[in-house]
Amino acid sequence: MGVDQSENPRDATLVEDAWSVGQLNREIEDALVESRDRFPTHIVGEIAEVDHYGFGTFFELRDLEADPVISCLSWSQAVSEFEHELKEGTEAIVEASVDFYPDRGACQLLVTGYWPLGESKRQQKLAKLRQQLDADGLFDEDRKQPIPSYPNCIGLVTSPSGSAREDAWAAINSRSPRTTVKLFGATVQGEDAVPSMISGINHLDADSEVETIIVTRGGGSDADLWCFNAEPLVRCIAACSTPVIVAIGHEDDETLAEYVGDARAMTPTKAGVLATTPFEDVLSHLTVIEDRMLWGYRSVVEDRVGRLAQRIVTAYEGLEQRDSHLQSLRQRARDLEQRITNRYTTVVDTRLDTLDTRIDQALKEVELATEAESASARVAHGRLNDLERRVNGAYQTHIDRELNSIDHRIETAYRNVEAEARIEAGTAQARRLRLVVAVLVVLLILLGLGIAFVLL
Amino acid sequence: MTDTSNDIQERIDRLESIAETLEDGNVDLARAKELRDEADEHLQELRTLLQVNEGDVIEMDKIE
Repeated sequence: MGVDQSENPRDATLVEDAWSVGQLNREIEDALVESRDRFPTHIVGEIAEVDHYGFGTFFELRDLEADPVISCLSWSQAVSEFEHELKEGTEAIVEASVDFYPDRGACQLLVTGYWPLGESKRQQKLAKLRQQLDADGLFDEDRKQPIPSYPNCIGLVTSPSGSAREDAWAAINSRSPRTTVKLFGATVQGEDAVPSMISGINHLDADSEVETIIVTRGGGSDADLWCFNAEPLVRCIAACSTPVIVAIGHEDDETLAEYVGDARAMTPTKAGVLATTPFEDVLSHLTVIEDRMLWGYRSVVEDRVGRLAQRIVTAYEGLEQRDSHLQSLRQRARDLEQRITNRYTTVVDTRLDTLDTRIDQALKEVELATEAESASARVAHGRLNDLERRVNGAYQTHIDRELNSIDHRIETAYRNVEAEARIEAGTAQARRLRLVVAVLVVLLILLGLGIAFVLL
Repeated sequence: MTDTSNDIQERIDRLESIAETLEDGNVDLARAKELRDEADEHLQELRTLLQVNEGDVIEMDKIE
């Protein structure tokens, strides 16, 4: 049997003395058969874990004061004859015989009678505790803390050797490999379970690195899970400052601890799922956000750039229009300048022509006038000449006459004077007379010239 | 909640807010650029924080 007999004589003795499992089971069966009279026919206990099948009903009968349980089976025929339905939590008396199955090494009560006594004390106590906890507000939804989505560290209170540990760890690691798990191995059933788990929860709650605590165990009987209804444990979970996920048993199992926790999960695996966010989902979510952000950014840029471009186009078109307008104005100015120039030239030419004509006309008139005046002047000049000749003739005649008269008179006077003053004033008187005569002659000449000048 | 967890959640929330602001479009070019740069920084930091590293399993004191 795997023991090396040659090496150790003592091991050889053990082999000879050891029984097989079959031998043991048969011996147990024989002992039970022989002791049948020692066993009662009626047993009192609490009904638990009722499972109905077509051929019969399996359930557990639990000690009213302690944890021990025993499996029970009632064939369907017997169940149909029960006056009351088998109901979990019911304190009842059953009529049963003890059966032992050597193939499985299992002991079981074969129940043939069932008499409920009412709700068991355990259930009454549980109901009362539930009421008290509810009155204290421990079940209120608004006191529940949110479970962190991206924990760096999760605390795990569970059996160090059970499958719950592996299930929870696998779920956490697959979804969030970066998350550290601090495992507090605790007893999760029996009388040591409550202080063990309370110690673990308090230890992890005091650890600042722990962001979420998972309290979990796998499925079991009501007796196995009853510790999660214990008031000290329930209140410890409720008072925890760190968010607590409670995952006890399977979906049909309900304990007070699950209701006071911040979240409830059906299984250890689901507790790990609840405590984490798949990092691929986070990265995908980041990609979606990034796409949204880039799309929004691109839209804003395109919109603003589009508006700016439109403004530039509009401004450019405005400048083009303005330039075209300026070109038009310049062309118009040039046209006007040309027109003015042409018109001015025309007007000036016309005026000049007119002036030329008038000047010519005037010149002609002047010429005519001049010629007429010249003719007149010639006539006048001729006449003047005639008058001059006549004046000169008349003057000469007059002068001659006067001179003759004067000569005569002078002669006469001279003779007289000479006669009278031949001696005294000889030449002087004669000279004075001559002088007077000369002055008179000059005066007459000047008078004649002046008259001629005036006439000219 | 540790600073890193807070940081992750806050950065993701901030990225959501930036995305909504840019999608809404009521920002000028300069502000859009600022938001874009901030978002890029958050994304880079988050991808660093979320970089796959094997977390440890630390076994605390056990009570049987």
